[in-house]
Amino acid sequence: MSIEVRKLSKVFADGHRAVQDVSFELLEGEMTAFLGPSGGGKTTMLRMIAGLETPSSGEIYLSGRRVDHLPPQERQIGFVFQNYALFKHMNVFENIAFGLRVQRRNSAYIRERVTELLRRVDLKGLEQRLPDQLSGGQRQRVALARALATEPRLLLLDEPFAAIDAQLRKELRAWVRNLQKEMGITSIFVTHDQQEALEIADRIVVFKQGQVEQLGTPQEVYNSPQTPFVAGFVGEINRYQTGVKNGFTDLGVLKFPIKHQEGRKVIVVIRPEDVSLVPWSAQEDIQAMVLQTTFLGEFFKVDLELADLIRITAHVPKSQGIGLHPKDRVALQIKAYRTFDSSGQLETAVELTRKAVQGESMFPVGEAV
Amino acid sequence: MKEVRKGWLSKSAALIAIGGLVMSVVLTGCGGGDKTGAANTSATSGDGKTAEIVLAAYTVPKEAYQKEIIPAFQKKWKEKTGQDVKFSESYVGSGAQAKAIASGLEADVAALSLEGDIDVVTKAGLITHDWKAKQQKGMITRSVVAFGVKKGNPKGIKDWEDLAKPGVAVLYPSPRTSGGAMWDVNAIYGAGLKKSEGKSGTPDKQSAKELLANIQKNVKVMDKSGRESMTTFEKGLGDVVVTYENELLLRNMESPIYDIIYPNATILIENPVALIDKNVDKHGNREVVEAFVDFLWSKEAQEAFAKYGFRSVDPEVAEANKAKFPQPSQLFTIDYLGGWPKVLETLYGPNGVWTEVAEQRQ
Amino acid sequence: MNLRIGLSSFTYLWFLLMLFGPIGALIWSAYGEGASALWRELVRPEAIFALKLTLLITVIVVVLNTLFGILTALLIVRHPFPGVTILNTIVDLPFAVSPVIAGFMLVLLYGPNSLIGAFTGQMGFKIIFALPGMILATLFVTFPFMVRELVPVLQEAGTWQEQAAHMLGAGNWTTFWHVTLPSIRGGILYGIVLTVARSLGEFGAVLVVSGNLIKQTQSATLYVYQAAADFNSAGAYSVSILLCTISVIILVLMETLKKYGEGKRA
Repeated sequence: MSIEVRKLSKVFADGHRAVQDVSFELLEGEMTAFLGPSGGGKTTMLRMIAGLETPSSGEIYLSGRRVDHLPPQERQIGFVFQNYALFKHMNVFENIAFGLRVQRRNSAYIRERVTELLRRVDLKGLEQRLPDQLSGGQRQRVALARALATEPRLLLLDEPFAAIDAQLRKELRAWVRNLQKEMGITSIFVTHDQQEALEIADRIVVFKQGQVEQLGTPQEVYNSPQTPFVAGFVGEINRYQTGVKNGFTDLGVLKFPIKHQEGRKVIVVIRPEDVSLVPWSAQEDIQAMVLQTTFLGEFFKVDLELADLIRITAHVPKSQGIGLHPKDRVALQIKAYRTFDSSGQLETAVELTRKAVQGESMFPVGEAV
Repeated sequence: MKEVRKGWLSKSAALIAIGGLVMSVVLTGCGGGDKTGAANTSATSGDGKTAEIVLAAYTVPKEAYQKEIIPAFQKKWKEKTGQDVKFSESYVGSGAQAKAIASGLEADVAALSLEGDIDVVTKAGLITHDWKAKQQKGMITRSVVAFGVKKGNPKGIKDWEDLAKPGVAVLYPSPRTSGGAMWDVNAIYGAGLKKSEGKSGTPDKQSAKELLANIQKNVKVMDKSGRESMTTFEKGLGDVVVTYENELLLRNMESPIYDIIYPNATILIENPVALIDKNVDKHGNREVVEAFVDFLWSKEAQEAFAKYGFRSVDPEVAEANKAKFPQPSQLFTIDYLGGWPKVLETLYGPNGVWTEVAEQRQ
Repeated sequence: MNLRIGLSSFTYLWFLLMLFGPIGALIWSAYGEGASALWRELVRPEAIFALKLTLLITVIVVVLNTLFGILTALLIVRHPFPGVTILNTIVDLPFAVSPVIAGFMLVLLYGPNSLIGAFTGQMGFKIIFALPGMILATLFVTFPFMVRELVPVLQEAGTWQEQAAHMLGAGNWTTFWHVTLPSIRGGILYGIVLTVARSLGEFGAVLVVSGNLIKQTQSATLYVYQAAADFNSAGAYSVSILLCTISVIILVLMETLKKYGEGKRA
């Protein structure tokens, strides 16, 4: 099922504008993430597609058919709630069978289908249990099975992993991703965890205060953020707001060329992994002093200070970070940066020395590595 | 393992609903024809086999009516006209009964404790004839206010002054909640007047008030009704209970608990009865109801009343039962106190004697 | 530890004084009357009628109260409208009003001299001083029980399960019957228990509204009151004990039903 929303808005009774004039299209068979901070409008958006909220204005099309006036019962959408919303007085079997019973399927079919789903979600043998006898992860899988039982054409998940502990969360989301790919069902899930979105989504829609900041693949959103907000939300950044003097950013030793913005304010954004450390030498353009190093397992986070007291953070590989100590002098090379004008529009995006940016493989094809 | 029975809810709901339905049918059906509906439009006397009379009375004469008077009347009426009479009876406190009738309880006959309660019914426009024009000014029974003491009269109670003595625990109901209790207080006040009149030749209101106040001091508990005062006494909470003689006599019929002491000066209580025109006309049973009301003055009925502790209004029956009902030397009626309207104001009004005494003691 | 012993002793003592003591005294006094006297009083036509009447009223009130209670609770919690807080307060009115006053209110509203009462009177149908009035009075005093039981239960349950049901294709009635009702069944059962207990024992309002017509509108509690006033101890005791027993039986039944619904435990 493909999804299209046109100029969708939602204003609540208390005047809160949850969604403002949003339009986008999603493709069939894809797993899309609605990503953004709390209150950004992503859950409201999801619920409008589901039919649990009525839009204040705008239209929703599912596979080309207009549905925004239809009640949820008629939209053939599966929904997994954040708190699972299992039927407390029914056992696992009956929970999953509910949608099928509503469809008045015969018992044999129901039994077959529920058993199959239980096998799929790896809950075989727990048919008779009541929800309060299950763990969080098990309940979540029951909710999933229940939503899938009626073979919906669209699956919606509202922060499905929010209540699950970190380790289990990783396993579960990978597992859900596999299931979705296997079944090929169009899915949308809401999350505020950018890691999660990057990991399992085909496409990400970034929400901020009721509007779409960017829609793109994980790579697009990460590597080519269109606004400072997206840049800062998906991944980490060093963020500077500064003026433009003589065609360059007025940022001390961080002098980047900027066209067209003379005398105006711009925002400069540099990812920590794009800051690489080289041994100090007087010839280097950017000289820095190490303030603090923090070991984060996969890499070191290094806080540095430049001339003019400008701070910057770098992520360096373990092998390099281990030899760094506070007060060490180093030099920096900025491999990529982006600048945005004062209204948040992209001004320049500069990537230096990155061969693979166009998707070209750095490795010869077909040879063992 | 916990199991939820499938369809539990629908099954129990069905069970409860069916059970409820069955019970309702059973309960309404097998009542032996007893109506749970209204006591309302009944067959007119004469046509059909059963006449109906709705009797609304106060609690005290219940036994007399139920055990003797009603059966006797039913027998008599059947002999006379061949018709059965069915009675619907209600016995509650006199004031409450008057209110109920005024609010629409369709009683054919009101037999109440006070003239004032009948007036309530009259004021509601339900009685249109002059009920006082009947025999004995419309009164069917009499009684007097007397003392009930423990057998043997251990505290030697003889008259009102003894009730004012320190260390004597007195019981009587509150006139605020019991209309009939006003008789008791009237008796005390009137006795005070009589005493002072005896001394000085004219009744002294102040000394009567003092007597009332002094006796009131000895009252620890004021119950809601005369019956309750007697119950309190029987629990052992008082030395003397001031109430109607007929109550004490009735109680003694069940178990001889009381010695009844008659003070010299006490008030004569008269209890009225009235046919309620509006309801009788609506029911169309005037003939049988009038017959019943008249029956209440018959020798048979008066004997029955006497049996249950009431003083008869019939001189012959009264004479025959003289031994049971001593005659206090200074018996007075409500007229001695100025009649009910005056009494209601001077004793129980906002600045009434009783009101002041009651408030002082707080 | 000592605090716990102290507290439980106090609780037992409290129950002894408040509950078991009086009931025990009742049974002891009744025993003093003699079994044959008690039985004789119990099978009196007036007593039997009064008991049947009370049971009938209780059954009807339970059914009506359940229905209206559920509807009202749903309205208050799920479909609030402007003025719903007023409705919420009105629901509690019977708690604030003395039953006797409630009875007088009903007489004023529905009595034969009122607009409504006169109208129904024309149609040959009496409310006050008849069974409908007694049912109304009992309904009035028991109404808050069901609603107050259900409102918090509904609020706590939230609408999540109903939303899930809708997503799975269930219409409003299906959702109500299969999802909403089962989720509040504990509250309903307990509301029924409270309603039954109160209906069996209701006195003040029914006294005012019924007219206390013997073998017509005299309920069991009215009968006991009359018997006590008549110094008919055997009569009062026997019916009181029977009422007590019925209450206990119904309570036990309800608890059993509740346990049955929850199935066997491992």
